[in-house]
Amino acid sequence: MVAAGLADPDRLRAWRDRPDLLAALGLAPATVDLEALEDFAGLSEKIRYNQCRGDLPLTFRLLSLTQLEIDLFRQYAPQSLARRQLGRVSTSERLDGLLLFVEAWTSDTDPVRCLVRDVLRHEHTIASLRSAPVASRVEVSRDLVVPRHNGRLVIHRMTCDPRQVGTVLRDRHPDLTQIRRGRWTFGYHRSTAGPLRILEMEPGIGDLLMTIDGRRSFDQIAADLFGDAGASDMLHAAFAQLTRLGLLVWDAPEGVAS
Amino acid sequence: MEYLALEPGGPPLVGLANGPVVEPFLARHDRLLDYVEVSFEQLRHNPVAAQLQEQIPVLLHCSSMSVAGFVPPTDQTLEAIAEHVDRTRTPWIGEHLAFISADALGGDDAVGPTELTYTVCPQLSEETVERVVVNLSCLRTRFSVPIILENSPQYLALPGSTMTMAAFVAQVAQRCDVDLLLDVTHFLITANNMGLDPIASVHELPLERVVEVHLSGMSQQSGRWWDDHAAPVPDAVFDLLRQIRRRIRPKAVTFEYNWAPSMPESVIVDQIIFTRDLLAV
Repeated sequence: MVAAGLADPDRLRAWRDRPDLLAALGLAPATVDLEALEDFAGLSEKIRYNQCRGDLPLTFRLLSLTQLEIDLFRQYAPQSLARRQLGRVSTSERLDGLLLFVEAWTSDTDPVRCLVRDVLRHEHTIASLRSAPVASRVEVSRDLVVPRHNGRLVIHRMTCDPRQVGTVLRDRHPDLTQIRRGRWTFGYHRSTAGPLRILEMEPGIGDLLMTIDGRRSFDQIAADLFGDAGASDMLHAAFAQLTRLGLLVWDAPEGVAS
Repeated sequence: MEYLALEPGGPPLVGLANGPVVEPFLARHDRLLDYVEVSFEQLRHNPVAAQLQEQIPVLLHCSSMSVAGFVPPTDQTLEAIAEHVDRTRTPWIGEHLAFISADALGGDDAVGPTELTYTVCPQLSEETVERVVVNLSCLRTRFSVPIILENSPQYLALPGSTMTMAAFVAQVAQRCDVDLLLDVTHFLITANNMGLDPIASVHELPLERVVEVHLSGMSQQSGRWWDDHAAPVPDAVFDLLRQIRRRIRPKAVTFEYNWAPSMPESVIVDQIIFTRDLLAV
C-alpha cells in the first residue's frame, strides 16, 4: 500500500478523498498517515530532480532555505508523473515541466513563491539558451524591413534581481532579508556570435521587444502600436539602438529575396 | 586499479559517496579520501563510473536487493551485482534494510510489481524480520563478500508496525547474524519523526556490529525531518556520533553529498578532519 501510494500520488489523493477505498484494502483509514505519505512522495519527486540540480543550484538552495522543497514537490508529483508517463524525462523536459508547474503554483500575492518562480525562470532560461541551437544571423541592408530577434531572446519581468539573489544565496550563511524586492525587466539573449547575455532594461523596451514577431515589418508594428500616427522618431531611435546592441536583425518582407 | 586495504584495528577509513562533488574534490584533496563509495545502480546505468577506480579504491553500495520486501531482485540483477563485487574487490556490500519493489496493489499479477526509485522503510514487525531472515539467507549465497544492512530513515508510522527502528534493527542483526551500516542521519531523522530520544534509542542498537557509518545532511520541512544529501552534516548528527564513538569501531565512514551539484570544499575538508579526530582509536 505504501509503495502503491508513493508510486502514484493520484492514488494517495483518492485515498484521502475516499477513505473507504483504504478500508476496501483491509486497512483502517485512521492507521494510515496519508499526509506524511504525500510528503514522502514529495521527497521521492525531489530526488528525481537531482539530475536538474546542476542547472538549478539557486532554485534548490532557495527552496531549501524557505523550507518549501517538500511541499512544492508534493504538489507537483501528480503532474510530474503524468509527464513521465509521456516519456518526458530528459533534463530539459524536467526543467520545462517544473517551470510550467511553478508558474501556476505562484500567486502574485505570495512574495516567497514569486521569488522562487523568478529564480527558477532565471535559471531555466539560462539552461535552455545554453543548450538550444541559435538561428544564423542575417546581415542588415537597407532593403530589409522586418525586424526579428537576433538569435534567441527571452524577456522576463521579475520581482527581484536574480543576480543579486544569487550573491545572497551563495553566502555560507545566507540572510534572505538581504534580497532586494521590486520590479525588474531582464532580457536573456544569445546570438550565434556571442555568449549568453543578461540585460537589465526599461519595462517599455521589454514590451517593445516582445511585440517583435519576425513577421511584421517595422511600419506594421508602428501602425499596430500607434495607429495612423505611424512611427515616431523615438520608435525609430529605439529600434536602431536595439539593432546596435545586437538584439535585432532585419529581414526582407516575405516573398522578397534579400 | 586501486583496491581498498583495511588495516585490522586501525582508524576508520573515510570516503565520499559518488556524485558530482567527487571529481573536483579528488583533484584537489586526493590524500584526504581513502575511497569513494559507488552504488551498483550507478555502475549499472553509467558504466563509465567504474573508471573512478583507476584513481581511488571503491566501496560498493546497493539499493536493488529489496532485503525487507516481498519481491526479490532478478537473477540478472544479482549476477550483475556479483560481477561488480568481484571487479571492485569491495570488502562488503552495503544494502538498505528496506524495499524498493513491491507487489502490485490488490495482487494484480498482470500489472507487475511496483518499482520505486527510493528505498522505503518497511513495516517494523516480526513478520518483516522473518522476511529479512529468508531473503538474506538466499542473497548471501550469491556473493563472495558479506552484505551489511543500513537502517532506513523513517518518515511516518508504518501501518502494522509493532516495534521501534532500534528494536527492529537489533532483531534483524541477531536473527541474521549480520553486521550493520549505521546511517547516523537516518537514525536521528527516525528518532525525531517518531518522537523518540535519539541517544537512548541509539544505544538499543547492537553498535558493536557497526562496520560502516553514513553521514549526510537533513532538513525539517512540513513538520517532519527529511534526508538531504545536498546539505552539510549538521552538528546534531556529529553530536549523536560523539555519543556512540566509544561503542563503535567502524572500518569506514562515508559522507553522502551525492545529490549536490557542488559543496564548499572547506565544509567537506573540515568535516573529514573533524570525523577522523572524533573516531581516532
